[in-house]
Formats: sequence, C-alpha cells, structure tokens
Amino acid sequence: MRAISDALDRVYNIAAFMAGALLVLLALLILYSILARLIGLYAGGASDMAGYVMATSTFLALAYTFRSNGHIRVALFIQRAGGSKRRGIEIFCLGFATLISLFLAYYMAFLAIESYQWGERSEGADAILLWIPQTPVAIGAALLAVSVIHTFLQALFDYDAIKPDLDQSDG
Amino acid sequence: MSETLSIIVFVATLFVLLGMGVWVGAALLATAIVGMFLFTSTPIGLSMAVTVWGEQSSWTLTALPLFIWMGEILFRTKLSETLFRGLAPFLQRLPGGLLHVNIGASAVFAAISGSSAATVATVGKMSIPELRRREYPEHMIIGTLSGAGTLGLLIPPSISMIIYGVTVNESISKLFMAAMLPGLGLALFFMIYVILWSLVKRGTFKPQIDVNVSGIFGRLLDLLPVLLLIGSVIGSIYTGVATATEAAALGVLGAFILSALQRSLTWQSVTESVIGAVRTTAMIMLILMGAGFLSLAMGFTGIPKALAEGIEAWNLSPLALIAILTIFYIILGCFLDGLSSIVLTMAVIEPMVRAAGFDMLWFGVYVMIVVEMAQITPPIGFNLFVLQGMTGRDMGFISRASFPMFLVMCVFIVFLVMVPEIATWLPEVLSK
Repeated sequence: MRAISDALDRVYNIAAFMAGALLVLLALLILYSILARLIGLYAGGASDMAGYVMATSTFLALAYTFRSNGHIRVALFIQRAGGSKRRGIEIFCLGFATLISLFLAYYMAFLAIESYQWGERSEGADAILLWIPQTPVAIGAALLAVSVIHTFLQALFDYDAIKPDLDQSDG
Repeated sequence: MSETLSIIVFVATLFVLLGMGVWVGAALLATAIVGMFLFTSTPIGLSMAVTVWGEQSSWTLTALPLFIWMGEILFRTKLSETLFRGLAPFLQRLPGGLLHVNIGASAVFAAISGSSAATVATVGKMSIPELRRREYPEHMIIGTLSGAGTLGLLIPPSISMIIYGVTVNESISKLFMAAMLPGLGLALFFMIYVILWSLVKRGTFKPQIDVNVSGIFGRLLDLLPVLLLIGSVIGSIYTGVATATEAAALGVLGAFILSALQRSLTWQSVTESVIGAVRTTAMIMLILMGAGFLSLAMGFTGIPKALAEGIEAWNLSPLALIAILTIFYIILGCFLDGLSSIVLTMAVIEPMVRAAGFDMLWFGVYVMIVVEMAQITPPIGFNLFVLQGMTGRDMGFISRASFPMFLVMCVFIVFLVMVPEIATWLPEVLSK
C-alpha cells in the first residue's frame, strides 16, 4: 500500500516538474515576444500561447500542491479537534473534495473532447486547435482527483501517513 | 422551492463547507454548483468548464505566475542583507533609529515582491537579530515589521492587486499606478508613528547609533541593481512600454541577473524557486477557479443586485458605507485569508460598489489595505504566523505589538476617503 502511495507521489512530483518547465517556457515566450517586437518581427500568437502554457502549468501542479498541503483551507474551527474527531472531519472534507475534483476532472475532459469533435480553434492570430492545450489541462485535473482520492483512502485506511494535526497550511 | 429558501441554502452551503475546513477552492466550486442547480437550468458542468478554461488561459492572468516567480528568485538572494546595509546609515539618524529600516526595507522589497508574508520574512531575517542586538524594544521590532509588511500588497507589483484586477475586470497596469502613492503614503504614516512614539518615549528609549557609515558609496552601489530592477519593472508599466505580463517577464530576467551578481544563483536555488512558484500559483489558481465560477452562479441568484439596490435605497454617505465595509472585512478576515476574502466578496459586492459610485481603482487600493488590516489581527494573519515562526514569541504578544500599526492603517483609510486623489491622480496623469 505504501509502495503504491510512494509511486503516486512520484507521479505528482514529475507533473510538478513539468509545470515548472512550462513556467520557464512562459517566461521565455514573453521575453521572445518583447524581443520580436523590438526588432520588428511578428509574434502575434504569443499572447494566446502564453495563456495556454499558463493553464497547462497550473493544472499540472495542482496535485503536487494538494499533496504538499499547499491549498488553503479554513483551519480556525477544526484545529482544536483532535484524535478521532479530527479524523472524522478529515474524512468528510476529503470525501467531499473527491466529489468536487471528480466533477471538475470529468468536465475538463468533456470540454477537451467537445473541442476535439467540433475542431474548435482559438480566436487569436494562430488559431490553434483548442483540444491541444485542453488535453493536458484535463490530465492535470484528473491527476488532482487521483491525489485527492489517494489522500482520502489514506485517511480511511492508513491515517498515520497523512497526520493532518501537523498540517501548517491553515489560512 | 421559494426564492428565499434557495438563497438560505446557497449561502449556508458556503459557510458550512468553509467552516468544516474544506479547501477554499473546492468549497467555492461546490457552492457555485449548488447555486447553479437552484437558480438556473443552464448545464452546470459545461458552464463550469468553460468559465474555468476561459479564466485560467487568459492573457491578463499570465502576469501572476511570473511575478510570483520573480519574488521566489529574489527571496533566495542576499537581498535582506543588502537592503539593511544600504538603508541603515541613512535612516538611523531619524528619531526611532533603525526601526525605520524595517519600514524602508519593507517598502523597497514590496516593490519587487507581491506578497506581504515574503516581505516580512525577507526583511525580518536580517533586521530582527540586528535590532535585538542593539536592544530595541521587542514589541516595536515586531510591530513595525508586521505593519510595514502589509506594504507588500499595496506597492506594485502586487499579487493580490492582479487578482483583484482580474476579478473586477480592471486594467492591471492602472491598478499598479493607483496603488503607488497610497503605498508610499502608508509607509510615511508608519514612519511618522515611529517618530512620534520615540519622541514620547525619549526618556527610556535611547537607541545606539552605531551602524558603520564607512564605505557608504560602496553600499549605495550594492543597492543600485535592486533599484534598477524596481525602476525597470514599474517604469516600463507606467510609461506604457510594457504590459504587466511583459514587465513581469523582464522582472524574472532581472531577478536572475541580480541573483547572479550576488553569486547566489545555483542550480538548487533555481529549481527551488520554480517549484515554489508553481506551488503558490496552483494554490491561488484553484481559489480563482472556484471564485470565477461562483461569480457566475452569484449573478443568477440575484443577491448582488438586491444588495446593490438595498444600499442605494439606504442612501448612505460614502464614508458610512466605507466604515461598514471596513468592519465587515475585518470580521471576515477573522475566518478567511486575504486572497479568499478578496475573491469571495468581489463576487457579491462589485455591483454594489459600482452603484455607490466608487472608482474601482480607488476601491482596489482600499480593499488591499483593509484586507491587510485583517491579516495583522488575530486569529488568522499570515504576517503574524510568519513573525511567530521568526521570533518565537506567542501570538498574543505579536498581535498586541501589531495593534498600533492597525490603528495607523485605520487613520490612513480615513485619509484615503478624504483625499481619494492619492489613488486616482497617478493613473489619470500617466494614461494621458
């Protein structure tokens, strides 16, 4: 069980590194468009591209952020609860988050499939096929759902592995 | 189901989920789903996907991860040392001595990082030990740090300001122009407070003026790259040469150069800064996804419109309305972090604020200040948490030490209402 959990954590980390690489790409893309403008080249599609690169980067980092307690929650009321009470709250929150993240993942995939079937293109200068950036976004959303379910199962069967009492992410 | 009951269910969903500790982004998404279900027959999932995709891939928002990354790079340089050494010789002669370095360095760091927690952490890293060694009163060290750290949200570039701009559809560049003078003004207010305090306490408070002033030109030279970086990022936006995103990309490049000049650029510091940046970005974006969809759902509920009409019917004076909103934000800040407060409230009160005739640029500046006021009051305050970690003092002590700064900010809000031009003047002049 822990071996599977570790393997999954590696997947989230790889996705986070890809997100990081995309952030670097985003910066380079914008620097390129500035340079292109200075020397009079055309770089009209860069702003569309930048948006897609950012969206992909963001979604790929969601799962890693979730696993490393990076997402904000209101800790004011739950931080006093300990032991089994706290565990009950965690299971409720994680179960709820599972539903929402599945809903999000399902419809982000739905959007990508729709765009593919209708052959939708961006309105910008480059008219990229929209499913191309939307697919990694859907994958990132799916990965978030996997990481939430992962944590949910840990809360149910291997509670010691997550130790929410030590959680520092209170907002 | 009757309209009223629907609204009660909708609002209760939000508060119960948030209170139970469901992640803010997920709670906002869930509330929006409930709202869409109760108030419209629009396909829920598809509206959500379209809204999320549209917002998350928008050009305006691309400034956000880049400014976050820039801050992450600079956070890993020797900047805190440079700032302290460069500013101390000049500021130590003022009544209050080196306490002014906390404020001055925060103002400078705020201009290169958009986050108040990072500002507190960076400035405090150097100044807390230095000031302790010279026996400055602990409560003033902490108070000035947590107060001046709030400048991170105000002085451009500011992450929260970008989020506000995206939420209410205002130009990020103009918001950055509007926030400049209020940011400097607030820093000045903090300094005046320190001067007054040290004049009152001059019997017991006698700081040592022993910072070495030799080699002052060398130190100024050290400050020069930082000032150049600030100048080029903010200057390129103000002159209209670059958009906020382009300025952010240039800022990342500049931060790399500065880090290389200080010999703190290593492979490890680069990867850490990148991962740190995507993590913070993902955290913010999940909340923005929820908030964007909730705004849409909120529109269907009719709550914002009813609220706007209600406020109009009351015929409140602007000052009274601002007073009510200030109290509201401070109470909200007891439960929510600053970012969530901004996105959640703007979904509801934007129409009301527009109907009351407020300038949205001015209101952005106002919101930044009140949200920060809430962040230096217990029980929840990022600046307080950071300082707790750095000084080892308990929350009660830190909150009490920050309280005078909270009052200074209240005074500044009154000033901002009396003289709105401090926020609106610069955008007008620069966009001509």
